[in-house]
Amino acid sequence: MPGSRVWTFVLLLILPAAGWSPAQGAAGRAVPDAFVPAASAAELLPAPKEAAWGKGAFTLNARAGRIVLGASAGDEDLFAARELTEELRALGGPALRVVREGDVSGAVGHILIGEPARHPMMAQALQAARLSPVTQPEGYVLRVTPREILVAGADRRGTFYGVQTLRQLLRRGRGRSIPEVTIRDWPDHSVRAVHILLDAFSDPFHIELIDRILAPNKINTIVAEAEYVQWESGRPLWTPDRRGATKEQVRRLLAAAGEHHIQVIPLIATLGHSEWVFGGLRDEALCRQVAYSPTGSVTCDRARAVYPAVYDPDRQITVDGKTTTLNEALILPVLREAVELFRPGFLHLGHDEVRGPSGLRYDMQLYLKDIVTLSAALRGMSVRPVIWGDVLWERREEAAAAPQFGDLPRDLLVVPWKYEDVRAYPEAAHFRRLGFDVLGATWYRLHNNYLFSRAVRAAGGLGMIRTTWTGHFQNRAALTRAYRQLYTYLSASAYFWNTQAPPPERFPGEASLARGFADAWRGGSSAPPQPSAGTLLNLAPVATASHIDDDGKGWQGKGPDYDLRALTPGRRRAGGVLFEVLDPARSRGKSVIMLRGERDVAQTKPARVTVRHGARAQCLVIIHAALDRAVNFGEVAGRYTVRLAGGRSAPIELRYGQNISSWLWDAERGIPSIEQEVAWSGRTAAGNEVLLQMIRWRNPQPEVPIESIELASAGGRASPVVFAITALDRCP
Amino acid sequence: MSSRAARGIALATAIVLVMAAAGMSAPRPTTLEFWTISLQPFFTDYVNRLIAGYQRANPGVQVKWVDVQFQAVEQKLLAAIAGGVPPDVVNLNVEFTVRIAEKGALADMDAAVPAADRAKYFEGLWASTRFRGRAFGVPWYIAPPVLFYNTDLFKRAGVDTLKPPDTEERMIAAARRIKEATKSYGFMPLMDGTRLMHRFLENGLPMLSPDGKRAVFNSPAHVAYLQRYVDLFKGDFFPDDTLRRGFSGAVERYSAGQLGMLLVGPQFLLRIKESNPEIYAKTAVGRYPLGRGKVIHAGLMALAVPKASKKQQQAVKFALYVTNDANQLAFSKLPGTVLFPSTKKAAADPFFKQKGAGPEFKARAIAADQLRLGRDLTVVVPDQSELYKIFREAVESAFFGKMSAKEALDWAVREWNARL
Repeated sequence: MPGSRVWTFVLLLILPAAGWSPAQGAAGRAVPDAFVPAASAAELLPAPKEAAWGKGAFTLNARAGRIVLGASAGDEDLFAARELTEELRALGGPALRVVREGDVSGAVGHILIGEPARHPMMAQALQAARLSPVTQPEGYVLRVTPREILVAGADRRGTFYGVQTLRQLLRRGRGRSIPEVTIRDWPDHSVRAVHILLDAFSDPFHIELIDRILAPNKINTIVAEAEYVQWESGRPLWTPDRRGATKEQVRRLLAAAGEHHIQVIPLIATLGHSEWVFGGLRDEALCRQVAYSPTGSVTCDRARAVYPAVYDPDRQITVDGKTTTLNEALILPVLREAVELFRPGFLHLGHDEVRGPSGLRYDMQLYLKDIVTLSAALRGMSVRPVIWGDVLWERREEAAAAPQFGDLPRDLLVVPWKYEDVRAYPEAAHFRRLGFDVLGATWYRLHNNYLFSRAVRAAGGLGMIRTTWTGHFQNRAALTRAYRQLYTYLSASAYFWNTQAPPPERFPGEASLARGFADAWRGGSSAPPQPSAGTLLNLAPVATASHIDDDGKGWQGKGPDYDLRALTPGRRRAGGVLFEVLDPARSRGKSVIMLRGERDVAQTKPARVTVRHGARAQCLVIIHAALDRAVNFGEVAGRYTVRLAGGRSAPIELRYGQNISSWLWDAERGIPSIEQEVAWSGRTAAGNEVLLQMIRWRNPQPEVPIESIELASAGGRASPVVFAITALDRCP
Repeated sequence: MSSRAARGIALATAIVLVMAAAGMSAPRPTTLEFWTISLQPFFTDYVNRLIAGYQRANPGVQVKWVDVQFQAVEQKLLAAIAGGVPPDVVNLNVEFTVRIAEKGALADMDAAVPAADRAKYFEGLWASTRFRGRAFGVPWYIAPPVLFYNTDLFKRAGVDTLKPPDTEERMIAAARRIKEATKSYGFMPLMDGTRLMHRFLENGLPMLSPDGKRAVFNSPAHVAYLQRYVDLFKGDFFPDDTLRRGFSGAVERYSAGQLGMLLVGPQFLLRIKESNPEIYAKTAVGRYPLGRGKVIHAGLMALAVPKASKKQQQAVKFALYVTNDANQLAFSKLPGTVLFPSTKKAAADPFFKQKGAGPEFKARAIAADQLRLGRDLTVVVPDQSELYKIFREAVESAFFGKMSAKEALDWAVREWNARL
């Protein structure tokens, strides 16, 4: 092994997993270690039930090592093996061949994958290691020793999940070695679902999501809002929204889900949230006819998407001269078509937030009757019905007193949803007592997922659904506008798999989850980063303010309780990049470049500041934050312009919420964009969560020296503050 | 194309041709889009008459009316503005007005409305939509809340139906008795969202320091106030959907006969009557139970004009028409309606002091009398959406046990202070 690689490896062991490590030194200096690759996150997600770590490691060997499947291995095993080889390729590790057990003489030096019952060599290896297999559905044993690796699933899904855990271990050793460990693992919930909104623009976003995020995190179910699919049913009175997914797009999703051991449950919102029905009806007269309206007056305005709150499924209407009902003419045909397309075990009927116009109560008997009617139709197709549980919970006494309540099918799966950080979730036990199977539905909050998952487990429920509310027709945009809803899939899946996982206080925080999601999303798209020398730019001559406020005149002018003193001056590292934070006590009382903005402390600052460099660099990395929150997401906060020798310049536009955000944790959006890289996080003395972001700029002409970087503010509330700039000889 | 549509086009074409032949310059037809909040179905006829009157007086102007549910109006408005199809006049409450004004999306009414016209409105109400020194809405109607109570549940709980609780203390005591005696909830306190801010202010507990630069809602008195309701919640004296459903849930529950007391604007009486005439028949009206501050939060409805409207001048003219003395008085006089005008002249009409049978009369008389205590207590702060979100999170954390009341308010104050 070359000496530099040994040095890199040693550094990897020394460096903390995340955050900056303080070091001493002066700014404006060339440094040999401006970038060293950061170590991968230490935590396994979802946390396995049992893990016993050893001191050794298995070293991957392209020449001798093989991935060994059972003699009767099928496509699913081959797919799992391929996931492993692709992970190795992405990590730059050895290319291992995939063989069957007859092709090798024993387990030593190899990775064995499969279920012991169908893989005799695996069974022998487990016996030799005195390891009893895990028998719980979807469970697995993963044993890594310096001699061999065994991934023994209780079933095919178990094997697949064992491989997913092994992939995480591979990342720790960068595809070269895997730490010694014995893991016994199985899920607490048999349904671990993520809810998504299907539309024409979500292909291939959702397929990528399955491949990079959901399956690796052991999600086994997708609940897909499918009312906007281009259904052919009901055309005499209704036309689907053209922005909805095509059936071919759905088939692609189903194929990808199937490969990754994910079942897909279609959700067709009926009664409540029936905009898709009203929006597609042939004319407004029909809209008024089918609307549920005890008062007789409704608004049907397609141009403004203003529709009645709910429809009456059984009111008689006339379509092409025939008397029918909305259920007969549209809802049931669409359900039948959905079953033909999805071939699901369950179909979600919605039925949430069903309320009459102007807050009037929807008729409970009509509500229950509709569940009974639609469930009977599904039963005829061997599909179990699912409904949201809010109405049956909020109006539980009224529902229980209605004669139709006893007619509800007992195979009905009820999904109570609660999205707040509530401590108790009595709905789960309530519906279990009534004899229904239960799935709990959560949103993005960490405690919500942690506690609801435990409550459903305690009540003997079937599992959990993590809902996603990014709106139809903008799924991919969630990456850059509603990222919090996506990166918190990682915590939800962890708590759905293992209800005994540590509570959120001792769990990776949101910044860590956001980074983990981004790494996984981009995984495999770039070569492993290499160390680089570089220069820590000296900001002292142009600094305009201090990030430490001892006297009420620095930072925001609010004194020591509300400043950034937690960011101690000196050299620090973020994402592997070395930075220097100036000490205001040693640089004229100033440590940061605060630009002009609306906040009082920024009103007298310069609108633009130029930082000289005068040297070559392949990359620039800038640590910054906005002084306040912008009113609008995506608003331009400022611009950095990199000027190259010879007159060429390159602008970097700062868009709020994307590549720059407030120094204060955004209580509404969390980390709003996958583009945002958190460089440092801490707390003020008062206890506010604070953070700095970093942006990376790649020089299109690395051979041309960078003369300067001009930092300019747009002058709004979210005016930029620059804390440090590092120039890298080589981009990571 | 349907025969009806074809006929319409033919007629329109004929009119244009006739006018051109006569050498007339036809006024360019203008359509103003007017959004209201939840006025259908109860006020459909009134609004249609209002629009017809305006169209008669302004030939060539058509007003297209869209009624939007309260919960949807902010989101729909932002989407319409972003999509380049904003309404020209939109009904908003003060909270929505300020939040949307902060985004720079509403026209400045201090600039758009002449001083003589501005003077017709109560000064305090005109100032309610002020943000950073500029007003962004024309005050429309105001409805000070009153107490509706279910006399049947009161009797079953042994609470005097002739002496409904007139203070917050007495209301809590009555709610306890109703729950204990009937198993029905006595009340759903208005604690959802940011309404606790109004409750604080109604009890003389300030939200901000006098200069508006510091949050001060974590004093021992604030903590004790919140703690009291947390204890009531834990004791199951109000239902678990109170924080999520707010007054909508309360109206729904009251209308179903499952709630002893309801604190809403008098106009909700119509909804109760429509939803459940039996409960309406058992409903009596009392004064709003006062807190220690002897002030009542009375939500003001305003009319705003999006900056993106291409007909701002006409839109302002229409907003002034809708809110003029005559139209506001006519609105207030609708049978079964209990709304109050925002203009001084209309509010001085003897109608508001009339007495009569039926809860509507009593509600109107009580509300009219309470107007002197009414103020829109919406807390106007920059970065309102995030600060409100923090406040909501704090309240939920206290009620749902994530933090103690003190920890929750301390946390929210810290977060506000870092941002103010």
